[in-house]
Amino acid sequence: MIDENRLIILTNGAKYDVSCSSSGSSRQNTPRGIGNASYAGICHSFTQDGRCVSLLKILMSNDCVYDCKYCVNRRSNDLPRATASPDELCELVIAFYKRNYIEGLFLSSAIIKTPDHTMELLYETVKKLRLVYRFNGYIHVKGIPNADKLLIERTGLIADRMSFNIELPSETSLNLLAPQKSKDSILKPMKMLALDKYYDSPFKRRKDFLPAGQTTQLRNLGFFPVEINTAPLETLLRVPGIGMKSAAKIIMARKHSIITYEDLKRMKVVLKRAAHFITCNGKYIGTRDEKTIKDLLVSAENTINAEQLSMFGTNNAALSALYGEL
Amino acid sequence: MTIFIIDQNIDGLMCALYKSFTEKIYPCKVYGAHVYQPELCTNTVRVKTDRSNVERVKKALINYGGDNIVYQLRVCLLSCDANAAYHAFCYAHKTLTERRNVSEDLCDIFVSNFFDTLRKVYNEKHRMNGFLRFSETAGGVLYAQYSPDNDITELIVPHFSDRLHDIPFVIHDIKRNRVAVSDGRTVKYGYTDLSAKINPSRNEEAFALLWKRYFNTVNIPERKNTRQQDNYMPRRYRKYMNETY
Repeated sequence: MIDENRLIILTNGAKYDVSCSSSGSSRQNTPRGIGNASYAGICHSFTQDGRCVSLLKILMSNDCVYDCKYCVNRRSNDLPRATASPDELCELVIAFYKRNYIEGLFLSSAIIKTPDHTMELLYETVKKLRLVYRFNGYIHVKGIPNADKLLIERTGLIADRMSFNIELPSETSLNLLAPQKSKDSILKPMKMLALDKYYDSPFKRRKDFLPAGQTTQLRNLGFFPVEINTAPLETLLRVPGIGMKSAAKIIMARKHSIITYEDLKRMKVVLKRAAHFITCNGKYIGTRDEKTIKDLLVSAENTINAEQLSMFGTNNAALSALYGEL
Repeated sequence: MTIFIIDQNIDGLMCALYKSFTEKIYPCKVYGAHVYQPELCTNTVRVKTDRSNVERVKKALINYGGDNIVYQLRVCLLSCDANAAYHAFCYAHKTLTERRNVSEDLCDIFVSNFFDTLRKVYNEKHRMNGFLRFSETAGGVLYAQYSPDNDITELIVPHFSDRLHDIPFVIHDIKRNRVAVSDGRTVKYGYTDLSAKINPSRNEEAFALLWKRYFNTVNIPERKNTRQQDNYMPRRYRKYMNETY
């Protein structure tokens, strides 16, 4: 069994990875197996910072041969090091899963010896879980850049999700900060996974800061208000605050009776913003004052003047980073 | 002012509907027998469950309201809301009088009340799929205690028998003294007022401790946001979760 200390070290190395989703796979249990994956995903706990704990997010090892400047686990950093064996990880996953602590495993690793060796260990762990322990829960594996294509492909076949980190914006900055990695080593396996349909990147899920429609909608005040009881779906969807779910509910409900303002409230359509852009059965309940509406729309945005600090100490370096030269 | 008192299960509800239609009474309230508190100036009718009428009403409901309706009514009756039986009754009654599937008529107060109650039960069921905590006994049986707001034991059991397959497990609802026992093949439901003393397996304590350590380590203290934590994981559930207990 893995000991407390190593668990803490290996968790600390992985906890800043944003991805903890357990959704998107509906793997079934097999005879004499344990576990399945729920398509919607399940959160098992919530930490004090309000984030959900769904997967056992852990590194295989934080004992890295690379010296990437931006990484806590870089070789030159003075840090307690630990490595877990595939068997220890499998045992931990099964024990946690059985007790309903977790939904599955999120496995990443620092580079132990060589990328190939590391990927082999990750593959071995996942393979053992699937074949020996007959584990059918959720598994997310981080791909190791520069590892053998065949290993990555095989891991992809038995994992539910796989991802690579895009670490830096340009080749020059990569050379400067992570001299052991090359642009190709990161992009190639991603392209390959895309072709193989296993491709997933944490960046895919990054939502745009402001949904594109909102500003045009303001300029188009003449277009609004729209009548909830007659407007076609496309028009309903242009109303700020009405999304796919609410629009579907409205279209469903108005087949049966006329929708009033109270009905919308009861149907749990969020009216905070939408109220200013709609009429219910001819009645308008919002305000016509453009400034109030504008304030309401931007209130979600963070308006504090925060400064983005630079990773590069000197002014010159910061400037060249800004222009993408680094 | 007639109030129906029913056994709060699907058969009880069916009998209330049968009585309402055959005797042409429309009750102003329907309560489950276990939540009813006598009110002034009302005429209470205790509806006895008579199995011979149940199938007839069910058939009519499925005919007009679709295949799902009986299951939905059953789930609604599991709610802790004292008005759950009334919401279920009104929805079923509306289906039968209008002779159509009324589920899309979301502006209707009966329909929206019914689906609100239903959603609350489903939501808690989904939460418990994550928040339930098993501990392993020396005999290899997994034992979980919890005390949900709604009587969801029957709803969550299939999820766990799917996952655990042939591992025997017990889910114990402390609040209602309700237990579900699975021997790895079949599940039996029952009631017990015994408090379980479990004899933990050799590794139980060690793994529980590892989980606690893990839970405390993934937290990022600089981003403390207990309000969000409380919203997602209400404090009343934490009593039975070993990482927060």
